[in-house]
Amino acid sequence: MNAQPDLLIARMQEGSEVAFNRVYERYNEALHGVIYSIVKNEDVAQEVLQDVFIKIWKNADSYDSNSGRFFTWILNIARNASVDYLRSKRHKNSLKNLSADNFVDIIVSNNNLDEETNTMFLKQWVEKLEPMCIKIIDIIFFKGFTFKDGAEELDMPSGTLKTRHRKCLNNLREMMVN
Amino acid sequence: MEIDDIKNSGDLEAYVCGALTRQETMTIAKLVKQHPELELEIELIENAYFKLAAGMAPAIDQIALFETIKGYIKENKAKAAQNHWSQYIGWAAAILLLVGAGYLFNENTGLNEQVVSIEQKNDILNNEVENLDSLNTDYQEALAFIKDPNTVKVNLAGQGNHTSAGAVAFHNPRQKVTYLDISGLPEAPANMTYQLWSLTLNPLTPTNLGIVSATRDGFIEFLNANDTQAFGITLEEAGGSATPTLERLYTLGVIN
Repeated sequence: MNAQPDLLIARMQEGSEVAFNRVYERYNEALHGVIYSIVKNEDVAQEVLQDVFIKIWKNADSYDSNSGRFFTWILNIARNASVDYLRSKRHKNSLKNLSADNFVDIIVSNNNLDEETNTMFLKQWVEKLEPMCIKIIDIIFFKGFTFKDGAEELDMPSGTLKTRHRKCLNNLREMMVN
Repeated sequence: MEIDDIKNSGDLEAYVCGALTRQETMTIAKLVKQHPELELEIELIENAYFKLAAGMAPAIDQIALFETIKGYIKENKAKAAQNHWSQYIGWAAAILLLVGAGYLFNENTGLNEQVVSIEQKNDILNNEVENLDSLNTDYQEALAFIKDPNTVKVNLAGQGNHTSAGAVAFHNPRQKVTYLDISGLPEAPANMTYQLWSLTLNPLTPTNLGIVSATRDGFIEFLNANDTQAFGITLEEAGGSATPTLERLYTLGVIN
Protein backbone atom coordinates (compact mmCIF):
# COMPACT_ATOMS: atom_id res chain seq x y z
CA MET A 1 0.00 0.00 0.00
CA ASN A 2 1.21 3.49 -0.77
CA ALA A 3 -0.18 6.97 -0.28
CA GLN A 4 -3.87 7.49 0.49
CA PRO A 5 -5.80 7.23 -2.81
CA ASP A 6 -7.60 10.57 -2.45
CA LEU A 7 -8.77 10.53 -6.03
CA LEU A 8 -10.45 7.14 -5.72
CA ILE A 9 -12.09 8.13 -2.45
CA ALA A 10 -13.45 11.32 -4.00
CA ARG A 11 -14.85 9.39 -6.95
CA MET A 12 -16.42 6.84 -4.65
CA GLN A 13 -18.06 9.73 -2.78
CA GLU A 14 -19.47 10.93 -6.10
CA GLY A 15 -21.05 7.48 -6.51
CA SER A 16 -18.61 5.67 -8.80
CA GLU A 17 -18.95 1.90 -8.34
CA VAL A 18 -15.65 1.37 -10.15
CA ALA A 19 -13.88 3.53 -7.59
CA PHE A 20 -15.67 1.66 -4.80
CA ASN A 21 -14.45 -1.62 -6.27
CA ARG A 22 -10.86 -0.36 -6.14
CA VAL A 23 -11.23 0.90 -2.60
CA TYR A 24 -12.50 -2.58 -1.71
CA GLU A 25 -9.54 -4.26 -3.44
CA ARG A 26 -7.17 -2.04 -1.56
CA TYR A 27 -8.57 -2.22 1.95
CA ASN A 28 -10.60 -5.43 2.28
CA GLU A 29 -7.79 -7.56 3.66
CA ALA A 30 -6.71 -5.11 6.34
CA LEU A 31 -10.30 -4.62 7.51
CA HIS A 32 -10.93 -8.34 7.42
CA GLY A 33 -7.90 -8.83 9.69
CA VAL A 34 -9.13 -6.23 12.17
CA ILE A 35 -12.65 -7.66 12.23
CA TYR A 36 -11.38 -11.21 12.63
CA SER A 37 -9.17 -10.15 15.54
CA ILE A 38 -12.31 -8.96 17.34
CA VAL A 39 -15.00 -11.52 16.43
CA LYS A 40 -12.56 -14.48 16.23
CA ASN A 41 -14.81 -16.55 13.98
CA GLU A 42 -14.21 -16.85 10.25
CA ASP A 43 -17.86 -17.00 9.12
CA VAL A 44 -18.85 -14.11 11.34
CA ALA A 45 -15.83 -12.09 10.20
CA GLN A 46 -16.82 -12.50 6.57
CA GLU A 47 -20.40 -11.45 7.29
CA VAL A 48 -19.26 -8.37 9.22
CA LEU A 49 -16.75 -7.48 6.48
CA GLN A 50 -19.61 -7.48 3.98
CA ASP A 51 -21.70 -5.19 6.21
CA VAL A 52 -18.74 -2.89 6.72
CA PHE A 53 -18.23 -2.33 3.00
CA ILE A 54 -21.93 -1.70 2.51
CA LYS A 55 -21.68 0.89 5.28
CA ILE A 56 -18.60 2.43 3.65
CA TRP A 57 -20.51 2.75 0.38
CA LYS A 58 -23.66 4.15 1.98
CA ASN A 59 -21.85 6.61 4.24
CA ALA A 60 -18.96 7.52 1.94
CA ASP A 61 -20.19 11.12 1.96
CA SER A 62 -19.53 11.52 5.64
CA TYR A 63 -15.78 10.95 5.33
CA ASP A 64 -13.94 14.26 5.48
CA SER A 65 -10.18 14.33 4.90
CA ASN A 66 -9.90 17.32 7.24
CA SER A 67 -10.81 15.16 10.16
CA GLY A 68 -8.35 12.31 9.70
CA ARG A 69 -7.15 9.47 7.51
CA PHE A 70 -9.51 7.39 5.40
CA PHE A 71 -7.88 4.29 6.88
CA THR A 72 -8.77 5.50 10.39
CA TRP A 73 -12.32 6.20 9.32
CA ILE A 74 -12.91 2.73 7.88
CA LEU A 75 -11.01 1.17 10.77
CA ASN A 76 -13.55 2.69 13.15
CA ILE A 77 -16.46 1.42 11.06
CA ALA A 78 -14.94 -2.07 11.13
CA ARG A 79 -14.30 -2.06 14.89
CA ASN A 80 -17.76 -0.70 15.68
CA ALA A 81 -19.51 -3.19 13.40
CA SER A 82 -17.57 -6.06 14.98
CA VAL A 83 -18.39 -4.98 18.51
CA ASP A 84 -22.04 -4.34 17.56
CA TYR A 85 -22.24 -7.83 16.14
CA LEU A 86 -20.96 -9.37 19.34
CA ARG A 87 -23.43 -7.31 21.38
CA SER A 88 -26.37 -8.05 19.11
CA LYS A 89 -25.75 -11.75 19.44
CA ARG A 90 -25.78 -11.25 23.18
CA HIS A 91 -22.30 -12.56 23.50
CA LYS A 92 -21.39 -12.55 27.11
CA ASN A 93 -17.91 -11.21 26.35
CA SER A 94 -17.81 -7.46 26.82
CA LEU A 95 -15.23 -5.46 24.90
CA LYS A 96 -12.88 -5.62 27.87
CA ASN A 97 -13.14 -9.36 28.24
CA LEU A 98 -12.07 -9.65 24.64
CA SER A 99 -8.60 -8.50 25.55
CA ALA A 100 -8.09 -11.90 27.20
CA ASP A 101 -6.45 -13.16 24.03
CA ASN A 102 -4.73 -10.94 21.53
CA PHE A 103 -3.81 -10.70 17.86
CA VAL A 104 -0.56 -12.65 18.32
CA ASP A 105 -2.47 -15.70 19.61
CA ILE A 106 -4.60 -15.52 16.47
CA ILE A 107 -1.69 -15.18 14.06
CA VAL A 108 0.20 -18.01 15.68
CA SER A 109 -2.73 -20.39 16.10
CA ASN A 110 -4.72 -19.99 12.87
CA ASN A 111 -3.56 -21.96 9.83
CA ASN A 112 -6.15 -20.56 7.46
CA LEU A 113 -4.70 -17.06 7.14
CA ASP A 114 -4.23 -15.71 3.65
CA GLU A 115 -0.75 -16.88 2.69
CA GLU A 116 -0.28 -14.17 0.09
CA THR A 117 0.05 -11.53 2.75
CA ASN A 118 3.30 -12.80 4.22
CA THR A 119 1.74 -14.43 7.25
CA MET A 120 4.95 -16.35 7.73
CA PHE A 121 6.99 -13.17 8.14
CA LEU A 122 4.27 -11.71 10.29
CA LYS A 123 4.53 -14.65 12.69
CA GLN A 124 8.25 -14.06 13.03
CA TRP A 125 7.80 -10.34 13.61
CA VAL A 126 5.06 -10.47 16.21
CA GLU A 127 6.79 -13.21 18.14
CA LYS A 128 9.77 -10.90 18.54
CA LEU A 129 7.66 -8.11 20.03
CA GLU A 130 7.87 -7.51 23.77
CA PRO A 131 4.79 -8.79 25.67
CA MET A 132 3.91 -5.23 26.73
CA CYS A 133 4.07 -4.08 23.09
CA ILE A 134 1.69 -6.85 22.10
CA LYS A 135 -0.78 -5.70 24.75
CA ILE A 136 -0.46 -2.05 23.73
CA ILE A 137 -0.87 -2.63 19.98
CA ASP A 138 -3.74 -5.00 20.64
CA ILE A 139 -5.65 -2.48 22.73
CA ILE A 140 -4.89 0.71 20.81
CA PHE A 141 -4.92 -0.53 17.22
CA PHE A 142 -7.10 -3.62 17.10
CA LYS A 143 -9.58 -2.88 19.87
CA GLY A 144 -9.61 0.88 19.30
CA PHE A 145 -9.33 2.00 22.93
CA THR A 146 -8.68 5.71 23.49
CA PHE A 147 -5.47 6.48 25.36
CA LYS A 148 -7.47 7.36 28.45
CA ASP A 149 -9.24 3.98 28.55
CA GLY A 150 -6.10 2.13 27.46
CA ALA A 151 -4.07 3.76 30.23
CA GLU A 152 -6.63 2.58 32.78
CA GLU A 153 -6.68 -0.92 31.33
CA LEU A 154 -2.88 -1.24 31.37
CA ASP A 155 -2.47 0.73 34.58
CA MET A 156 0.04 3.31 33.32
CA PRO A 157 -0.09 7.10 32.73
CA SER A 158 -1.55 7.92 29.31
CA GLY A 159 1.55 9.96 28.31
CA THR A 160 3.72 6.90 28.95
CA LEU A 161 1.32 4.75 26.98
CA LYS A 162 1.55 7.11 24.00
CA THR A 163 5.37 7.11 23.82
CA ARG A 164 5.61 3.37 24.45
CA HIS A 165 3.08 2.79 21.69
CA ARG A 166 5.37 4.70 19.32
CA LYS A 167 8.42 2.66 20.41
CA CYS A 168 6.54 -0.60 19.93
CA LEU A 169 5.39 0.35 16.46
CA ASN A 170 8.92 1.48 15.58
CA ASN A 171 10.20 -1.98 16.54
CA LEU A 172 7.65 -3.53 14.23
CA ARG A 173 8.48 -1.11 11.41
CA GLU A 174 12.19 -1.92 11.68
CA MET A 175 11.48 -5.65 11.48
CA MET A 176 9.24 -5.11 8.45
CA VAL A 177 11.93 -3.14 6.62
CA ASN A 178 14.61 -5.75 7.26
CA MET B 1 12.82 20.93 15.90
CA GLU B 2 9.06 21.09 16.07
CA ILE B 3 8.48 18.43 13.42
CA ASP B 4 10.68 15.92 15.24
CA ASP B 5 8.90 16.69 18.51
CA ILE B 6 5.58 15.86 16.90
CA LYS B 7 6.98 12.65 15.44
CA ASN B 8 8.45 11.53 18.76
CA SER B 9 5.36 12.40 20.79
CA GLY B 10 3.48 9.31 19.62
CA ASP B 11 0.61 11.50 18.47
CA LEU B 12 0.95 10.42 14.83
CA GLU B 13 0.59 6.73 15.71
CA ALA B 14 -2.40 7.60 17.87
CA TYR B 15 -3.85 9.65 15.02
CA VAL B 16 -3.73 6.69 12.63
CA CYS B 17 -5.31 4.39 15.24
CA GLY B 18 -8.04 6.90 15.96
CA ALA B 19 -7.08 7.09 19.63
CA LEU B 20 -6.97 10.89 19.89
CA THR B 21 -9.79 13.20 20.91
CA ARG B 22 -11.66 14.93 18.13
CA GLN B 23 -9.87 18.21 18.75
CA GLU B 24 -6.40 16.61 18.82
CA THR B 25 -7.25 14.79 15.58
CA MET B 26 -8.22 18.04 13.84
CA THR B 27 -4.98 19.68 15.01
CA ILE B 28 -2.84 16.87 13.62
CA ALA B 29 -4.83 16.76 10.36
CA LYS B 30 -4.10 20.47 9.90
CA LEU B 31 -0.38 20.10 10.64
CA VAL B 32 -0.11 17.18 8.24
CA LYS B 33 -1.51 19.26 5.40
CA GLN B 34 1.18 21.90 6.05
CA HIS B 35 4.16 19.51 6.40
CA PRO B 36 4.68 16.79 3.77
CA GLU B 37 7.31 15.25 6.07
CA LEU B 38 4.60 14.48 8.63
CA GLU B 39 2.37 13.05 5.93
CA LEU B 40 5.15 10.70 4.85
CA GLU B 41 5.66 9.55 8.45
CA ILE B 42 1.92 8.95 8.78
CA GLU B 43 1.92 6.89 5.61
CA LEU B 44 4.75 4.75 6.98
CA ILE B 45 2.86 4.22 10.25
CA GLU B 46 -0.30 3.39 8.34
CA ASN B 47 1.62 0.96 6.11
CA ALA B 48 2.95 -0.92 9.12
CA TYR B 49 -0.53 -1.25 10.63
CA PHE B 50 -1.98 -2.08 7.25
CA LYS B 51 0.49 -4.96 6.79
CA LEU B 52 -0.12 -6.23 10.30
CA ALA B 53 -3.90 -6.19 9.87
CA ALA B 54 -3.86 -7.62 6.34
CA GLY B 55 -1.64 -10.44 7.56
CA MET B 56 -4.42 -11.50 9.92
CA ALA B 57 -7.10 -11.80 7.28
CA PRO B 58 -8.40 -15.37 6.89
CA ALA B 59 -8.21 -16.64 3.31
CA ILE B 60 -11.48 -16.01 1.45
CA ASP B 61 -12.71 -15.57 -2.10
CA GLN B 62 -12.46 -11.78 -2.22
CA ILE B 63 -14.06 -11.43 -5.64
CA ALA B 64 -17.10 -13.51 -4.68
CA LEU B 65 -17.59 -11.45 -1.55
CA PHE B 66 -17.42 -8.23 -3.54
CA GLU B 67 -20.02 -9.59 -5.95
CA THR B 68 -22.34 -10.15 -2.97
CA ILE B 69 -21.76 -6.60 -1.78
CA LYS B 70 -22.35 -5.24 -5.27
CA GLY B 71 -25.50 -7.34 -5.57
CA TYR B 72 -26.83 -5.82 -2.35
CA ILE B 73 -26.14 -2.31 -3.59
CA LYS B 74 -27.85 -2.98 -6.93
CA GLU B 75 -30.86 -4.55 -5.19
CA ASN B 76 -31.29 -1.46 -3.04
CA LYS B 77 -31.21 0.75 -6.10
CA ALA B 78 -33.75 -1.48 -7.85
CA LYS B 79 -36.10 -1.32 -4.85
CA ALA B 80 -35.99 2.46 -4.92
CA ALA B 81 -36.80 2.37 -8.63
CA GLN B 82 -39.70 -0.06 -8.07
CA ASN B 83 -41.36 2.21 -5.56
CA HIS B 84 -41.29 4.92 -8.13
CA TRP B 85 -43.00 2.65 -10.67
CA SER B 86 -45.71 1.48 -8.33
CA GLN B 87 -46.73 5.09 -7.78
CA TYR B 88 -46.84 5.61 -11.48
CA ILE B 89 -48.95 2.53 -12.02
CA GLY B 90 -51.33 3.66 -9.29
CA TRP B 91 -51.95 6.93 -11.05
CA ALA B 92 -52.31 5.17 -14.37
CA ALA B 93 -54.97 2.90 -12.85
CA ALA B 94 -56.90 5.90 -11.52
CA ILE B 95 -56.89 7.56 -14.90
CA LEU B 96 -57.90 4.33 -16.58
CA LEU B 97 -60.92 4.13 -14.32
CA LEU B 98 -61.88 7.68 -15.08
CA VAL B 99 -61.48 7.73 -18.80
CA GLY B 100 -62.34 4.17 -19.71
CA ALA B 101 -60.32 1.07 -20.14
CA GLY B 102 -60.10 0.19 -23.82
CA TYR B 103 -58.14 2.92 -25.47
CA LEU B 104 -55.76 3.49 -22.62
CA PHE B 105 -55.16 -0.23 -22.19
CA ASN B 106 -53.87 -0.45 -25.73
CA GLU B 107 -51.87 2.65 -25.26
CA ASN B 108 -50.45 1.28 -22.05
CA THR B 109 -49.39 -1.96 -23.69
CA GLY B 110 -47.55 0.06 -26.29
CA LEU B 111 -45.92 2.12 -23.60
CA ASN B 112 -44.89 -0.95 -21.66
CA GLU B 113 -43.21 -2.32 -24.73
CA GLN B 114 -41.43 0.96 -25.10
CA VAL B 115 -40.40 0.84 -21.47
CA VAL B 116 -38.93 -2.62 -21.93
CA SER B 117 -37.05 -1.49 -25.00
CA ILE B 118 -35.86 1.65 -23.24
CA GLU B 119 -34.80 -0.37 -20.24
CA GLN B 120 -32.79 -2.62 -22.53
CA LYS B 121 -31.16 0.39 -24.13
CA ASN B 122 -30.57 1.74 -20.68
CA ASP B 123 -28.74 -1.44 -19.71
CA ILE B 124 -26.49 -1.16 -22.73
CA LEU B 125 -25.79 2.50 -21.99
CA ASN B 126 -25.14 1.70 -18.34
CA ASN B 127 -22.55 -0.83 -19.42
CA GLU B 128 -20.93 1.71 -21.68
CA VAL B 129 -20.89 4.26 -18.87
CA GLU B 130 -19.27 1.73 -16.58
CA ASN B 131 -16.61 0.97 -19.19
CA LEU B 132 -15.92 4.65 -19.74
CA ASP B 133 -15.88 5.25 -16.03
CA SER B 134 -13.30 2.52 -15.61
CA LEU B 135 -11.18 3.92 -18.44
CA ASN B 136 -11.51 7.40 -16.99
CA THR B 137 -10.38 6.14 -13.59
CA ASP B 138 -7.34 4.56 -15.30
CA TYR B 139 -6.51 7.86 -16.97
CA GLN B 140 -6.97 9.84 -13.79
CA GLU B 141 -4.76 7.45 -11.87
CA ALA B 142 -2.11 7.65 -14.60
CA LEU B 143 -2.31 11.45 -14.59
CA ALA B 144 -2.05 11.67 -10.81
CA PHE B 145 0.93 9.33 -11.02
CA ILE B 146 2.69 11.42 -13.68
CA LYS B 147 2.03 14.62 -11.71
CA ASP B 148 3.57 13.13 -8.54
CA PRO B 149 6.84 15.01 -7.82
CA ASN B 150 8.56 11.66 -7.20
CA THR B 151 7.81 10.45 -10.73
CA VAL B 152 10.66 10.72 -13.24
CA LYS B 153 10.22 10.56 -16.99
CA VAL B 154 12.66 8.35 -18.91
CA ASN B 155 12.86 8.51 -22.68
CA LEU B 156 13.76 5.14 -24.18
CA ALA B 157 15.58 5.79 -27.47
CA GLY B 158 15.64 3.33 -30.40
CA GLN B 159 18.76 1.14 -30.61
CA GLY B 160 20.74 -0.45 -33.49
CA ASN B 161 18.48 -1.12 -36.45
CA HIS B 162 15.46 0.20 -34.60
CA THR B 163 16.32 3.89 -34.34
CA SER B 164 12.77 4.84 -35.28
CA ALA B 165 11.35 2.91 -32.31
CA GLY B 166 10.82 4.63 -28.98
CA ALA B 167 8.98 4.42 -25.69
CA VAL B 168 8.54 6.51 -22.56
CA ALA B 169 8.69 5.21 -19.01
CA PHE B 170 7.41 7.06 -15.96
CA HIS B 171 9.05 5.71 -12.83
CA ASN B 172 8.15 6.44 -9.23
CA PRO B 173 10.64 4.81 -6.84
CA ARG B 174 8.55 5.78 -3.81
CA GLN B 175 5.37 4.14 -5.05
CA LYS B 176 7.50 1.36 -6.61
CA VAL B 177 5.55 1.61 -9.83
CA THR B 178 6.57 2.19 -13.46
CA TYR B 179 4.14 3.22 -16.21
CA LEU B 180 5.16 2.55 -19.79
CA ASP B 181 3.86 4.33 -22.88
CA ILE B 182 4.52 2.11 -25.92
CA SER B 183 2.81 4.16 -28.60
CA GLY B 184 6.24 4.62 -30.27
CA LEU B 185 6.96 0.91 -30.64
CA PRO B 186 6.17 -0.94 -33.90
CA GLU B 187 3.67 -3.78 -33.52
CA ALA B 188 5.39 -6.97 -32.34
CA PRO B 189 5.63 -9.70 -35.05
CA ALA B 190 3.45 -12.80 -34.64
CA ASN B 191 4.65 -15.20 -31.91
CA MET B 192 6.91 -12.49 -30.51
CA THR B 193 6.43 -10.16 -27.58
CA TYR B 194 8.14 -7.12 -26.12
CA GLN B 195 9.59 -7.41 -22.64
CA LEU B 196 10.58 -4.64 -20.21
CA TRP B 197 13.78 -4.85 -18.14
CA SER B 198 14.96 -2.87 -15.16
CA LEU B 199 18.73 -2.42 -15.42
CA THR B 200 21.44 -1.54 -12.95
CA LEU B 201 24.68 -0.37 -14.59
CA ASN B 202 28.28 -1.34 -13.65
CA PRO B 203 27.95 -4.26 -13.74
CA LEU B 204 25.03 -4.41 -16.12
CA THR B 205 22.32 -6.47 -14.37
CA PRO B 206 18.90 -6.90 -15.97
CA THR B 207 15.77 -7.72 -13.93
CA ASN B 208 12.61 -8.81 -15.69
CA LEU B 209 9.68 -6.42 -15.14
CA GLY B 210 7.30 -8.33 -17.36
CA ILE B 211 5.84 -8.73 -20.79
CA VAL B 212 4.64 -5.60 -22.57
CA SER B 213 1.12 -6.28 -23.80
CA ALA B 214 -0.98 -3.61 -25.46
CA THR B 215 -3.80 -2.11 -23.38
CA ARG B 216 -6.75 -0.07 -24.53
CA ASP B 217 -5.31 3.18 -23.21
CA GLY B 218 -1.73 2.53 -24.38
CA PHE B 219 -0.39 2.74 -20.82
CA ILE B 220 0.93 -0.28 -18.97
CA GLU B 221 1.58 -0.39 -15.24
CA PHE B 222 4.45 -2.44 -13.80
CA LEU B 223 5.22 -3.02 -10.15
CA ASN B 224 8.88 -2.15 -9.79
CA ALA B 225 10.57 -2.33 -6.40
CA ASN B 226 14.03 -2.47 -8.01
CA ASP B 227 16.71 0.13 -7.67
CA THR B 228 16.36 0.90 -11.38
CA GLN B 229 19.07 2.92 -13.12
CA ALA B 230 17.90 2.32 -16.69
CA PHE B 231 15.09 0.65 -18.65
CA GLY B 232 15.42 -1.51 -21.75
CA ILE B 233 12.87 -3.18 -24.03
CA THR B 234 13.78 -6.30 -26.00
CA LEU B 235 11.78 -8.38 -28.47
CA GLU B 236 11.43 -11.96 -27.21
CA GLU B 237 9.64 -15.12 -28.25
CA ALA B 238 6.02 -15.24 -27.12
CA GLY B 239 5.83 -15.94 -23.41
CA GLY B 240 8.95 -13.90 -22.63
CA SER B 241 12.47 -14.83 -21.70
CA ALA B 242 14.41 -15.23 -18.43
CA THR B 243 17.28 -13.13 -19.75
CA PRO B 244 17.19 -10.34 -22.35
CA THR B 245 18.19 -11.12 -25.95
CA LEU B 246 20.49 -8.16 -26.49
CA GLU B 247 20.60 -8.58 -30.29
CA ARG B 248 16.94 -7.64 -30.23
CA LEU B 249 17.28 -4.66 -27.90
CA TYR B 250 14.80 -2.15 -29.30
CA THR B 251 14.96 0.76 -26.90
CA LEU B 252 17.06 1.87 -23.96
CA GLY B 253 16.89 4.82 -21.58
CA VAL B 254 18.92 5.83 -18.51
CA ILE B 255 17.41 7.63 -15.50
CA ASN B 256 19.20 10.95 -15.11
